[in-house]
Amino acid sequence: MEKSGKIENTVYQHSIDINDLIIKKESIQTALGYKAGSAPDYVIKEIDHAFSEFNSINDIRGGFRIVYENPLSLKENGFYLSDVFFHTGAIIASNLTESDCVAFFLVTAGEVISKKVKEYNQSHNYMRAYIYDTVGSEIAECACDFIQSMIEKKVKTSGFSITNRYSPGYCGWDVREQHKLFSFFPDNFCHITLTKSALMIPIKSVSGIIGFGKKAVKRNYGCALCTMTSCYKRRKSG
Amino acid sequence: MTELLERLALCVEMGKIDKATPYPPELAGQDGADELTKQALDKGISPDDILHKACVIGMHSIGEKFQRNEVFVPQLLIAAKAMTCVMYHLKPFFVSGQIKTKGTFVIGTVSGDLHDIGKNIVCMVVEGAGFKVIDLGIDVPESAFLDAIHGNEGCIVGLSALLTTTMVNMEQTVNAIKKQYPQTKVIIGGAPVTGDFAQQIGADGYSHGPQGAVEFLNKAVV
Ligand code: B12
Repeated sequence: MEKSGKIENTVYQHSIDINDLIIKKESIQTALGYKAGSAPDYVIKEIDHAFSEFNSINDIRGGFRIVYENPLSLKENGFYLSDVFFHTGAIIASNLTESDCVAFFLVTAGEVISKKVKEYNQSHNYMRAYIYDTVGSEIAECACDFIQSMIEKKVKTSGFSITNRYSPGYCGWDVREQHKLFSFFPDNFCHITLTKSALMIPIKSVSGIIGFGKKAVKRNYGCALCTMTSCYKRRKSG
Repeated sequence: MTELLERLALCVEMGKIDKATPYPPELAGQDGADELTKQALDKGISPDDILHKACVIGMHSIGEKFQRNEVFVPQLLIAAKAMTCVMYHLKPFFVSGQIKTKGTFVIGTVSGDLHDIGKNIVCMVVEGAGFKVIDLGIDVPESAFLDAIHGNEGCIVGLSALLTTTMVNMEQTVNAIKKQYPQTKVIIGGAPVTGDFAQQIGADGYSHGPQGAVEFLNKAVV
């Protein structure tokens, strides 16, 4: 058990049961572009079909690493951790001001779902393939929620709260910085690998950080400050 | 004849593949794209008319609705499926040269990138607009684009990327193409790509969706 105010340097890796994720059919409809209740019947049926096959999706994984350093060496454009500078940009850095430290996380919805997408595409069942692809993305997002709540529970025992999660490729943080993030995990962690061009395999994977500290707070994403007009977080937040 | 082609265009647009397809409900139990294409060929309607006066019209209509956010990708994809069904019957006429496509579109996801779902949608819509599509797949090196251009004189090239890291590989590919084949037109697209970026790297066009690609291609071949 950690003493209050101190957390051991830890790496956790979990196999996640799909039934432990809160995946909503409505979120899939929204991700497909439909407003509540406006999706055609056949789309709703396809979503139901995908959900009926959930039990075969058995390779969802997620994990995190906490490298405890207090205080976090925060700069205007990023932070240092174990001598590595994470150039997150000002938006994310400003959301870490109350954090004492960060947790790195990786999650994946696995290969099974992507294999299904491929098979359905090959048999010319394009719509089903696309809906499965969207379901795969949603599983990855929900697995992030799951790992986020694990991190939250973990640090709470020491009296800390957490920030929102931030990923390279968002909020002005260069996607190539994933290489630094991966350097904090053992090879093949959660069966995820990173290519030279900073692409994670399996495709339905997410990497990121979550800050924590005595006074850390979850703030809305700072879309008003960001220059990426095509970003989907912006669209999500209005 | 026009009535049959109009019905076929509607089936393509609505994704009514065959008689058994339950959607759209108002066409339940009626012939779909499969049956209507066969009937049209039996009646001696020219394959070229079936393509350009039915299939292309149906795909154009759904593509426009997609662009206006009136329908979304699933609806576009069932239309594409109905279109594939028409194309299946028309295949021999492409081979024999009886059907003339508007031109050839060579497309691929640039090197370092493995995403294909967006590119595949573009392929289907462009094919449905009456073009021959050569899909080079994912993680396509410059050399493969150059080979394809060499083998398909006058083709237009499309590049896709989903990450900012791989988006930069578009620049190298565009440079290589323009150096060897300055006349070849290149259009780029994908989530992080913008019109400004296209201009900056010397691509001829950008579109955030498939319909814009069709408009670009239609202009490029006149
Ligand atoms: C769903 C999603 C995910 C899912 C699934 C990802 C997947 N690849 O399957 C999950 C949650 C797993 C995910 C993860 C990540 N994502 Co993501 N994701 C998205 C999202 C919301 C939608 C992507 C999608 O599937 N769109 C649907 C398809 C059909 O659209 P499309 O591929 O863009 O294709 C259309 C057009 O672009 C166009 N088009 C495509 N190609 C071409 C070609 C031509 C010639 C033309 C004319 C048009 C064209 O037409 C297509 C049809 O309309 C986008 C944001 C967005 N709104 O686009 C971010 C986005 C792609 N992701 C992004 C990022 C950063 C990531 C991560 C790196 C985050 C992280 N650190 O974990 C990871 C990377 C994953 C990996 N494997 O490496 C960035 C990429 C930009 C960048 N900064 O590099 C985006 C753009 C979000 C943003 N910041 O705005 N992501």
